[in-house]
Amino acid sequence: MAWLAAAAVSAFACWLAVVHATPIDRALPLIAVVLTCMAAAWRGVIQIAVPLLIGGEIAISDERHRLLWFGVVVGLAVGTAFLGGPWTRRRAVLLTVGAIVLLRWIPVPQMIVRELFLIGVAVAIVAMLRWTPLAAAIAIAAALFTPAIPLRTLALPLVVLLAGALVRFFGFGFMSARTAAAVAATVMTMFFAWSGVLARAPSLVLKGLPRAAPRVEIRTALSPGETITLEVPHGTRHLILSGANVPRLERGTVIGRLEPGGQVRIGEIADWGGLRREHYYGSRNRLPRDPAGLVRDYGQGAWVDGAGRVPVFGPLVRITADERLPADARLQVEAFQ
Amino acid sequence: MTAYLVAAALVFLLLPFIVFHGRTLRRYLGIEVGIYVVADVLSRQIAGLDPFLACVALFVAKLVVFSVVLATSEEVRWSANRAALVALLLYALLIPANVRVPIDGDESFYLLMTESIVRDGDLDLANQYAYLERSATGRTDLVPQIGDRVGPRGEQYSHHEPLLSLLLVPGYAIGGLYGAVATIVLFAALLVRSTVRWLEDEGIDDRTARAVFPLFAFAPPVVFYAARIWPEVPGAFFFLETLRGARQRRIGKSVVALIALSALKLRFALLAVLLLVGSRRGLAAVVIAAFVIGGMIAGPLPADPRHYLTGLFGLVLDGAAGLLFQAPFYLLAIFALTRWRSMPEGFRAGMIASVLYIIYLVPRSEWHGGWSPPLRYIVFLTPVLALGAAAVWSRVWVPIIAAWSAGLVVHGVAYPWRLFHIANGENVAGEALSRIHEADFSRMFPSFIRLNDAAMAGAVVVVAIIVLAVATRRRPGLFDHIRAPLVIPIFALLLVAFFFFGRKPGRVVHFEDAHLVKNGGELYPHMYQVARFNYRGGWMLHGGNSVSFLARAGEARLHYAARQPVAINLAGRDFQLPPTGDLYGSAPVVIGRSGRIELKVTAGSVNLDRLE
Repeated sequence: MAWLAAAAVSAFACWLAVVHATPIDRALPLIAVVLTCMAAAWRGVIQIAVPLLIGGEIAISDERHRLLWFGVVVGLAVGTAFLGGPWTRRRAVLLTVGAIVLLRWIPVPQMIVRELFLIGVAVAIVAMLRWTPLAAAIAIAAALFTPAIPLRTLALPLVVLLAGALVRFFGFGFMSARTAAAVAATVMTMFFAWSGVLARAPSLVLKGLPRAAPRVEIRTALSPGETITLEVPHGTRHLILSGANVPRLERGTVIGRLEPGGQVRIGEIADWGGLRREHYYGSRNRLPRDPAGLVRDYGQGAWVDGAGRVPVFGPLVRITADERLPADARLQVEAFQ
Repeated sequence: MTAYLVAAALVFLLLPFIVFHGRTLRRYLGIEVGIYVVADVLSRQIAGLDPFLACVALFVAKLVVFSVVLATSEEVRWSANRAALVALLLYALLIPANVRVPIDGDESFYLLMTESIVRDGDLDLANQYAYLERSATGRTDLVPQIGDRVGPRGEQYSHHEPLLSLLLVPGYAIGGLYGAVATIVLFAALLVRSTVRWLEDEGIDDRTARAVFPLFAFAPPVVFYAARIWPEVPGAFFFLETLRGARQRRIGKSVVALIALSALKLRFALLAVLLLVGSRRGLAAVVIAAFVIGGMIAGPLPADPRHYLTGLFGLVLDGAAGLLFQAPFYLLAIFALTRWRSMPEGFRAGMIASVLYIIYLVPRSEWHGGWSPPLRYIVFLTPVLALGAAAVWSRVWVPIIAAWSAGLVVHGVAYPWRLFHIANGENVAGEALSRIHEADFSRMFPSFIRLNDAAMAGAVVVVAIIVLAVATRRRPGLFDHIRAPLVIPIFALLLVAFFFFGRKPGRVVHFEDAHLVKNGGELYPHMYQVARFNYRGGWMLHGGNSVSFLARAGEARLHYAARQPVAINLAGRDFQLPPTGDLYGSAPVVIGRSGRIELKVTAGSVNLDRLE
């Protein structure tokens, strides 16, 4: 009863504290409940995360820094919950489910049944791998990296489950690897505010999430064969380009040409929405070599657009969309930077 | 910066080998690697954040983890010497952090005296002031202080006692400023060693000592004085050695330490009075104390009890200079006071010995320490308070205290100059929140420097808690409930309430405060005015200057000083303020609506004190 009351009071406090408008800020009560559950599973010290979250909401006005602070607090809370004290089944399940809720249920998902199924599979993975901390970390990772759209992507956690079953069937030993599991869980949950970006572009997250930098906006889209000549603004050295309706193009496919500058290929830029959760599975192009996309949306729905940075030379640049592109494809000239 | 990072990383790599062994050592090293992995990932996300702040935050986080493992593990090699070695290594890291900026406050004058001893073989600072560019202080703005003596041939003597400067001589001769600060670091490590030994002597078990150790050694105020040229840390060491000598019946050791203590700073001589009597002779102590107190009140001390209450509650509650916000760990010692009879004898002896000093300190206008890091005047008492805290350790729960202390350390080490506050009734946290939200958050923190409503409420709460603690001292079960899961949620709720009310307009608006949006004007008196806290502070506005702030609707009084008539426009209404001469005066004003309003000076110049 005391823990129920603690969860309720924590959630209420967080609800009162919300002053910013992002879905992550609005989800603070849910986060408080999850953290209280984790504290109940092990030690009350994890509850300290709740006032720290509230402190961040009050004191940090910059959105990126605030959400990152939330991530650090939540990540450390989850990591701490992995360390110390006896490891029990209850603790393994609560940590796994709690972490998945943080990573996938903020904002509240549209396909609840799929998400519940995913949680079920994750718990099964933990059980199959004998409830160890490492099992919990693997289950959390499997859930994190599953887009769940389209339905067939649920095969990923099922494959992990099957692998776990085989490991168990053949009687391999089970590692606990508690510290490693704690670090992995910390890093994964640290980015819960942009878990979709972590899932679909982990290298980008590990290198540092992109921040909006000053740009000279162009915002035009070229049809196949179409050409535009632009004056390069003073102080800018790059052109930011992206593709539209080109997710199926292979890496290396020519998409346009800069004069001076040469050809622009898939790999230097990507489909603008290719990293969206619903498009990711069907997209063949991956993150551009020098990504210039911005972080959009939150939680599992977060994504980075596929814009890439291409150097420009000289006072004028002539941009031509390749005429062999599909009819509905576009070369998007976004901005100078 | 890179060299500092490498040095810090090496020190933190060494620490576990000093105190851990077996599986704990292996696991800790794993955690160490994990922390670096997380920090590396995190460092790539925080473009725009001060790199030194990030670096300090990382190492304080590592220190927190180290402390938790130290407190909770079984495979620990623990002794006073190992604790001192850990402290020495970590304090050494504070030296470059603190001397990133020129030393401040009394530090500069102690160092000038050391330089005078080393270079001239005397204490005459006249030539030091004449050639400040040669000084290792890095300060060319130093001038003799109020109270400094001038000799018959123009010699300039500091009013500070010379012992500390003498102690710094070897260190300074070897390493200049760094060597001088390193001398204090050595004293700080010795203090840690003595404190751990003292905890053992007084019957505190190893596990508790390990838990208390980081909150004593690496939390405010000790950590902020451990690498600064102030007499506080050596004073704490000598005081503790005096106490330990007395407790162990080693009179010679005790007397030597006592002499050193008194020579370090004359105010410490007050500690000697009751120490000499001995804590066991209760009646004699009371009689002597009564005589000395009577003498002090008849002489230099005020008789008005309000001065005593202000200083006493201020030391406990004040937002800028009290234990609650600046060193919350030592609040446990207040709790320990309510369990007086069951406390270790050393704690009781130390507290009794400090009674005269406290009585002398609290009614002074500078009870808060003046231009110095917080809690300067009670640093010497921290080993005693730590013993009290250790004695009640098993009955309290400290994560909030630990988290707040860690935050204080990050802030104080990353921005050492912010530890010096102008003592205007605000504090760093209140000022930061005030600036972010442009609302008066400072008033939500108790201030006994500029008495406010929160201070009165806080004092009542403290008295209530003490009464409750005393009344229930025979029922140990009551405070065991502090561990209940509801404590932190309720704290979170209070935090939200603090935030909610903080954003509302306050009853009083002080015009020098951080929440005002200022368009012109200047602080009065200026920031570095000696003993600025003795002045009525304000904000000078001239014709065309304005300030905007949150205010409540209704009639109010504007307190100000102006030599000539002044015309102002307040929230859209014009007012004429009559001149007040050299004094402060007040004039009635009316504010039409609650919310953000503007006060603009349309003609003349005025020093605005407050609106209430």
